[in-house]
Amino acid sequence: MDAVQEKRLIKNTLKGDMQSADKLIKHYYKEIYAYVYRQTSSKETSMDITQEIFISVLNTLHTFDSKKASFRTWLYAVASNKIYDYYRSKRIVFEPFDISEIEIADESDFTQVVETHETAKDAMRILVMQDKQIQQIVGLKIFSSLTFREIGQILQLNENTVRTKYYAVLSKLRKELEK
Amino acid sequence: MNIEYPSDFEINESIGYICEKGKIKKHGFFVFLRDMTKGLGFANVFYGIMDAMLLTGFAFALLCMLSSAILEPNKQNSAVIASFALAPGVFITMFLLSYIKEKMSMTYSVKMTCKYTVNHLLAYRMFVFSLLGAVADAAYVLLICIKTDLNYITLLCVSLSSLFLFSLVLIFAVLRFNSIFAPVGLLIIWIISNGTLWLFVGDFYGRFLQQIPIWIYIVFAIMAAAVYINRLAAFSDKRRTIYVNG
Repeated sequence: MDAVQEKRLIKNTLKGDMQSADKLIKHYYKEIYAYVYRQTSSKETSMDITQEIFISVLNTLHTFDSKKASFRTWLYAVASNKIYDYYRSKRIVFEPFDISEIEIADESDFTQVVETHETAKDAMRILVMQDKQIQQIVGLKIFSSLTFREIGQILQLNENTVRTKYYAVLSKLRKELEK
Repeated sequence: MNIEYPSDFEINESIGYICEKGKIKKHGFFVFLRDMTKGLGFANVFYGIMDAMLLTGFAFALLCMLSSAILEPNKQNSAVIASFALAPGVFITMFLLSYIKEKMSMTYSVKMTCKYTVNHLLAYRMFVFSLLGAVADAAYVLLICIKTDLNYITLLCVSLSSLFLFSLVLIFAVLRFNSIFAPVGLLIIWIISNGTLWLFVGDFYGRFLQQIPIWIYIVFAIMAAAVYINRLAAFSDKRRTIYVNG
């Protein structure tokens, strides 16, 4: 889907055309589902959260401003908040999953820090103790293919600030795990 | 990591549910007011600004007492000018206190991410402040009429058209500039222009306001109020942020 087509679908959706909404959601459904699944490891939960994300997207579509960020970036902003809310509402610490299986295209390579399943669980325990913004930065960087710049747009932070915070938390994790 | 995707059937079913639940409905401003009252509750819409409203009420009572003390029956021109120039007083005071409080609030950006943003709150409040302003004007004009023997309906029309003229310019200024300086600047211009006219050409200004036919005031007030409500709806929908928090 090109940008013009996407813009038209958003415009029509805002006018109440649900066929356009259907097409728009269909285009992004699997990508957002995958992003959620990587953080929950549960098909049922991921479907529920994905559903909530897109309902929220439709309810707040009028607040989307294409001058500030792309629709995809905005979508991840909604998804990131929903995932955070989900964990907070359930009062559960991140469900354990093996971070070492996740492919990270970043040079810092998180897998060097968390090589085993147990270490991964420890890493997640440390991570959930960080504030919301840090959790969102790490979540968005690892589980989506967004760049630091796009994450900065979502969290209204400077690209360099996001980068610094991301590497700082990785360094912190490394130190904590080495203890 | 192997991702267990739902089947195409499950995805379609889920998207159908999403479209049903998230159906976008276009509502008018009054439906928006009703939904917001139901969703948030009247008390919560005005949470944190009751002190500002009480302060305005106190200032208005002082103004009434002062006017009552200084107005004389033969000063009809001054009475008409006061009805016109002071008409937006209650409205703008409550709006400014509320607007500045929200803008300066540490939670401003957080509130902008909610289902009902600061703009929704302000639009709702502006509407209520206009109504309160109209009630205050009706009371103030009654006081003036008792003191000066002017026609109550005529003076009320002068006052309400002034209120809605001011409200209309204010909403355009806020929509255009999105800054505290917009309403403050408008208030300063209003005070200076009316004050200057009153001080230097008070007789002419008063006569001019009295000579305008009442039907012009009525038509103007209705039209200004209609456009104002239309712009309030636009203000409540104004996009501000990419943050979304369900």
